[in-house]
Amino acid sequence: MPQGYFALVLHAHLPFVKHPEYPDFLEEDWFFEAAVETYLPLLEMFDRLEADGIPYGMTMVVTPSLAAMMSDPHHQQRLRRYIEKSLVLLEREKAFVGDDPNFAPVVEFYRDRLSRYLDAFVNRYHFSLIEGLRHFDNLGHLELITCAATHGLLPVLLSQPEAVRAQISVGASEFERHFGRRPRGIWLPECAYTEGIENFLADEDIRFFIVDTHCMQLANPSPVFGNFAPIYTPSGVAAFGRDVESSKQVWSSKEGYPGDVNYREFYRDVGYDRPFEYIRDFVQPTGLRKQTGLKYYRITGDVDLSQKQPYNRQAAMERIDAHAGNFMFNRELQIKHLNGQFGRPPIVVAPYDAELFGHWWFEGTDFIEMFFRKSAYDQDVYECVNLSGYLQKMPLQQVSTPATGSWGDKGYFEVWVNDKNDYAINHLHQCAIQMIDLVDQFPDAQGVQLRALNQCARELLLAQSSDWPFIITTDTMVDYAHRRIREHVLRFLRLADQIRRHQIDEKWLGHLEHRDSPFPDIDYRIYKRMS
Amino acid sequence: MVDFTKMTVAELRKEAKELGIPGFSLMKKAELVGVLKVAHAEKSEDALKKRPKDEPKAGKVAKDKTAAKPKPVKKKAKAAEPKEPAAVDDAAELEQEPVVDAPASVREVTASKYNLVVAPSIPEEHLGLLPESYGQDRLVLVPKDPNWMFLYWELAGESSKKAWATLPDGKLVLRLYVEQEKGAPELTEQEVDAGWKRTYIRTRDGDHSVAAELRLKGPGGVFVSMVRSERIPVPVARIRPGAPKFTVVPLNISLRKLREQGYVSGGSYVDLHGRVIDEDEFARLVKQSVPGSKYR
Repeated sequence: MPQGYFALVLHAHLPFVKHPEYPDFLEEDWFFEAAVETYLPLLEMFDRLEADGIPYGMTMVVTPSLAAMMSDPHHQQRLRRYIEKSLVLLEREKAFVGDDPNFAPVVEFYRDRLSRYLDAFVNRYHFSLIEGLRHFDNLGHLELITCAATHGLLPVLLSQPEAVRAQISVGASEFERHFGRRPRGIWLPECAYTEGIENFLADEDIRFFIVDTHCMQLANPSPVFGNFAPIYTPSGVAAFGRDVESSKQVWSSKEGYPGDVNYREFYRDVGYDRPFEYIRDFVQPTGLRKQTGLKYYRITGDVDLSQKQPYNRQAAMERIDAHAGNFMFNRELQIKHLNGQFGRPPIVVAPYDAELFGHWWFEGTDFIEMFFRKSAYDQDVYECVNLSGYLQKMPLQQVSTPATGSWGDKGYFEVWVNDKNDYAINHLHQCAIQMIDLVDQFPDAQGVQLRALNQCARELLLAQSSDWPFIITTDTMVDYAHRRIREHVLRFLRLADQIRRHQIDEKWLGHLEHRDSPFPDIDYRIYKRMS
Repeated sequence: MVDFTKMTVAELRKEAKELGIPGFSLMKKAELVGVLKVAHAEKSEDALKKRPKDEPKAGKVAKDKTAAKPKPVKKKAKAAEPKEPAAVDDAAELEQEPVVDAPASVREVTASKYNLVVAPSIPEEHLGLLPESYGQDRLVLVPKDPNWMFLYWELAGESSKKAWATLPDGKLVLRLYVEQEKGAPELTEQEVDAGWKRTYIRTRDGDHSVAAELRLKGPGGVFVSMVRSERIPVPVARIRPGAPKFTVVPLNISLRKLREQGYVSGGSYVDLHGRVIDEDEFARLVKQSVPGSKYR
């Protein structure tokens, strides 16, 4: 029996962004970049680990909005176009760098990598990343779990409990549609929890969720094993707490591994480095430059971007080896220590945004792979587990209720509730109120009316995504976020009005169904009034 | 740009109707002017041809010092003109494209082709602005953190109208009923501006929950209640000690089935296989699994 357990949890999420009305839309790149830099590398990693018989117990969240994009022919075709276009650019790059000893190997590295991803995407997974994920989920090491439908911040939506129920219920049924089984776990968006949410999970027979460190430490009553064992809420659903120590080693760009000088520099990109005429076809159609994903430099140190040194893949991989070894060593110490303290095998739960690995920290997926390999061969203190696997082994736990909070800045809801974005809350509540009224009014809709009501449910869910207030707070793509809130709320209101007046604009409804198209099987009656 | 402020309400409504703006018949002049300005701006954007958004994925590029400012580029007519206006998807076209093994010369041709993918034409929606009001009386509290709670309200329904009719010179006051973890509840009252719609209220350690009410207050202690919020718990920031209890929840048995069996976590017990057992048996189980029987 191992002295304890380590549970890696990757949270893969992107908001639903689909703009068929534009031939090329910058925000859609979020999905393409994450697919090429995180999701496809992870699939490749699972494949190698399976082939070598490495037990890589881990948990991965695929949010319903991300799964919706993975399964949408629009995104599938554009992702293929994105990779093909990168390969075309790499052909030019090959000529551009010539036999430069620094850059020719980097170009070759990218060509090889992207060709493999394209081949896997098209020929092995038939354009569906879902298919790949489902394959590895079935094999048992990887456990996929779900999330609320559009990553809505549930404590803010709780003034209409029906809205929370719909987020969770659609999250569970979408998971089943994509992956062929009910989810055993859920990632609460932003780890945002408040007492009562567990009851909605229990109704879907979801067995566990994850809270941030302080929500566990402040749980009622205080958990005797702190963050190193789950607690059962009175509903029977388990809550796992996030470990701070393992988190910090990876998250922090200063003290963490990703800041190493040999790792790839994110901000120096061919899209900005090349002469405009040369790169024109590979940046935005408006003529503005953008990231192409081809980055040839390493972090180097605290120097200006122009002073960065060329990327050396081998040197980076040597650091990966060292960092994975260091991470393993620290987990051994931590778990031995905790076992001594508790006299019982602890679990260390380490959740991260999946896109941190590969997209932000380019070598991050290699780090994970190396960590699993080393854990399998170089130590016997802990076992890597997925969260269901752990609960099967350790079904006896303390009963307690986590405290309200989130994993956002300062631990509560300030990121999503502040004077920049709080204007939206009233609209989200009002749309939910109207949605519940519509179910009262039209309990058995058919035909066009049914389609319109279902589309209302989609618009409401899309408006509720926590990504919009988050983006507004972090001051990045603010206009786009405001626009998305406004559009979904107004589409909802107009459609609701048309339904009530029995004057549905069917042509417009058709456009909405085509564009705001996640959750094809949604049933608006999920908003039926709770007694 | 048309100066909407010089138009009459009837003219504005006519314009709004033509643009398909929802709810225009309920709007006051100022609202109509605002909505029409936006709708017209969208329309002229439309006329300029739809263009993808310009901002780079910020947060990444914002720090990029090498980001060269693009030269104003003369748009190639070729790049701007849709090749096949009716095409809905580029799928079929891409399907026939040789991918990895194509010679470089083919790639040179295809590179610019990728920028010509044509989108289905989706008509402009003229959605207008978010509504100022939903015609209701509502007062809602939303937790932000242990020290602050967000509060918003809308006074546009029947009971607030009646209140204003009863006490036309009344003052709007916000009352907060704060329940404490220990001790008597606290009541505070402050005058608020009728024009406010959103604010934050302070909570403190030891506050258990808050409920709010808006009242219209007249002279001599007369008042009319307009709207009340639900009672919302205040997030805690303290350790809460208590006697630990343990339970078993077998993963292979559904929660519904466990409930049907009479299972209540922390109350009645099952063993590691889900069989219902008595308290003594369970105590032995805990002792085995959790070292130090002090926990039970």
